[in-house]
Amino acid sequence: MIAFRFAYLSFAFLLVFTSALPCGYSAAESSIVDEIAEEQLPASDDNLTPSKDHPGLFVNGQGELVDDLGTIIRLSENKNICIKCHYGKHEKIVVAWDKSKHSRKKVLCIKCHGGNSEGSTLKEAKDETKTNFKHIKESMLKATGDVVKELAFDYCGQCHGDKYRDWEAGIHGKRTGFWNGEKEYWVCIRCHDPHNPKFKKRVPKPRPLKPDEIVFKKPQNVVVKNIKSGK
Amino acid sequence: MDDKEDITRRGFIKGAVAGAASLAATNCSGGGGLGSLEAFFQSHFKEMDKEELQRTLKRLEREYSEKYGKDFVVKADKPIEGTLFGYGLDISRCIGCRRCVYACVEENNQSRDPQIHWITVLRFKKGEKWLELEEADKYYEAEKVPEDGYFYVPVSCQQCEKAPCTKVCPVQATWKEPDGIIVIDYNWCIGCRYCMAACPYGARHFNLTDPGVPAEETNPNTHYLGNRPRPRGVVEKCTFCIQRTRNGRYPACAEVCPAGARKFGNLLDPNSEIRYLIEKKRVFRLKEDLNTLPKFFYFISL
Ligand code: HEC
Ligand code: HEC
Ligand code: HEC
Ligand code: HEC
Repeated sequence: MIAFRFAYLSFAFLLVFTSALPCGYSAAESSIVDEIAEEQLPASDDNLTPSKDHPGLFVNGQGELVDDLGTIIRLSENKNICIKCHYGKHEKIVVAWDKSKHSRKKVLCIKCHGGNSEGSTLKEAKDETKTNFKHIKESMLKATGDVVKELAFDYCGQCHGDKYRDWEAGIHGKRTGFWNGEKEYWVCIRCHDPHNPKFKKRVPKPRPLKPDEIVFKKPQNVVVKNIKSGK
Repeated sequence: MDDKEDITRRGFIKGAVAGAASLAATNCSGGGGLGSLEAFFQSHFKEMDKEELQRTLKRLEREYSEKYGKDFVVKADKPIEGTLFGYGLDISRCIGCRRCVYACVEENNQSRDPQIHWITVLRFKKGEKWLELEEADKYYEAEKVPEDGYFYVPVSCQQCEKAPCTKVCPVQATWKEPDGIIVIDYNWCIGCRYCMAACPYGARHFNLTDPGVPAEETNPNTHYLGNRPRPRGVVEKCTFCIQRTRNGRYPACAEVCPAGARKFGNLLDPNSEIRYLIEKKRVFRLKEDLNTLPKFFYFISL
């Protein structure tokens, strides 16, 4: 009935390009989680205030997080430090991240959390006005206007410049609203889980019925004769 | 197709034999706009003056509201000046989930039973040397999409600039609007289906019976040339959601796409996303060799 008549299609063109589509990604290199899983955290016995959020770490007089020797924890020197603890606390996140391309390409927690300046401290990392775990999601999903672009750039665009440019033009990702007016950008994390960014597969909607599955109820009071197979 | 038997109501008018007797014999509409004498003598959409148009819209609103038990609006918004609509579809990001198919059905009051879909998603194997559209699978079933090794190409009306379908209509019931949308006047269509035969994309669909749309699922915000309920015996197809896009909104399929693979905009606006993708991405159109000049652009972004 609704058979396609695509006899003369020249589709070679299409093929040339689609062979460049993303395909499966091959096996993991060494896992950071594996590397550090065995390590223990240092015990504390100094007279620094134990950190409320970060048991095992301490807060010094200036409010900086320090280790048991009073050394300020600098992200640049402790690239895997977040994973060490957050593996237990946020196992799902760390495991997801560990399996993702981000982990394989050494996109560490601190690349997104705690700013990206190599000298920043844990205190700065947790600065709510900058990058706080809890607040990122909310501020990203609620942001409007240029803030959305800043966030998308800061978190993802700095490394994915090509995607960011396309996204800004409305090509990658998605904009809703009005084609001739106000548009709302979808931030990257609305489609990509930052800890496992590969676009999630989903269940497709039902296939269309085949011609022989479509039942036409007998038309009433109508003279439709000679209905052929419906070309 | 057999002319004699297919020509119905409109044929009689054209032949100037529209007496009361033939009217009764050919009044075959089951509601949806052709039931009344007034409807029968209505002018062609493009020839209606303001007053007749208003009368017609009001009449249709009354009929639909009665039939479906809720308030219908039937607009006839004119094209926005300086627009020529174009559509872009990123086949490198389409995941074949068919959300667009069903969003379209709901927005455009397509018949659920018997089933009519204006969008068909075709599935192709990646990397094959040569492919023909008819070999594509539109009935694929998968637990999750996208499936490894496949890509997907949704096909609907390509809104051709040189549309073969409008040329073959014997009664000018289908034409191209100034903003580029190919429309159908369902009150004028005689159901001969020449246009369906002429369309190389299989994008036109015929209401063999009364469209079956549950009243509670109808979308009451309609356009005369778009998603208003159709009577039986007429052809229908995608209109770029004329009822939405002429008000600045995105087509329903573009709005629902979870991958963001569907793009829509004004081809005459150099800053539009559609122009960006045509200029910056690798773009192709279906069956380019037929010279139908579709305004539906497939592109690859990854
Ligand atoms: C010594 C273990 C440990 C280390 C190392 C660690 N954390 Fe934590 N972190 C914790 C614990 C435990 C909590 C839980 C606090 C709570 O539940 O309130 C926490 C909470 C947090 C919070 C607040 C959580 C929220 O929901 O707002 C942030 C932000 C945070 N950590 C950031 C970091 C960053 C960034 C790093 C790496 C630079 C890091 N942490 C390293 C143990 C650690
Ligand atoms: C590519 C950037 C990126 C990387 C790398 C990254 N995160 Fe995140 N993370 C985010 C963003 C964005 C959010 C906020 C969105 C969300 O919660 O999903 C977030 C949220 C969180 C949260 C709060 C989640 C919640 O439910 O409240 C935790 C905890 C966290 N990340 C831990 C980590 C740890 C541990 C690592 C390293 C294994 C890590 N992140 C690596 C971007 C990143
Ligand atoms: C520090 C740089 C960096 C940051 C920040 C970053 N990425 Fe990535 N991302 C990478 C690298 C490197 C890859 C691997 C690319 C490759 O292998 O081609 C990658 C891969 C990806 C992929 C492909 C995953 C796959 O399995 O195919 C997606 C999607 C992605 N990133 C999204 C994001 C999003 C969303 C953010 C922001 C929340 C982000 N990235 C932040 C560096 C980064
Ligand atoms: C509307 C949803 C959506 C949004 C928003 C979105 N993406 Fe994507 N992205 C996709 C889809 C769909 C794919 C293709 C996934 C596939 O085919 O598996 C993709 C693929 C990617 C890839 C992998 C590209 C490759 O070559 O494989 C990267 C990297 C990426 N996106 C980054 C981003 C960044 C950065 C942002 C924000 C600036 C962003 N995305 C916003 C839907 C989105």
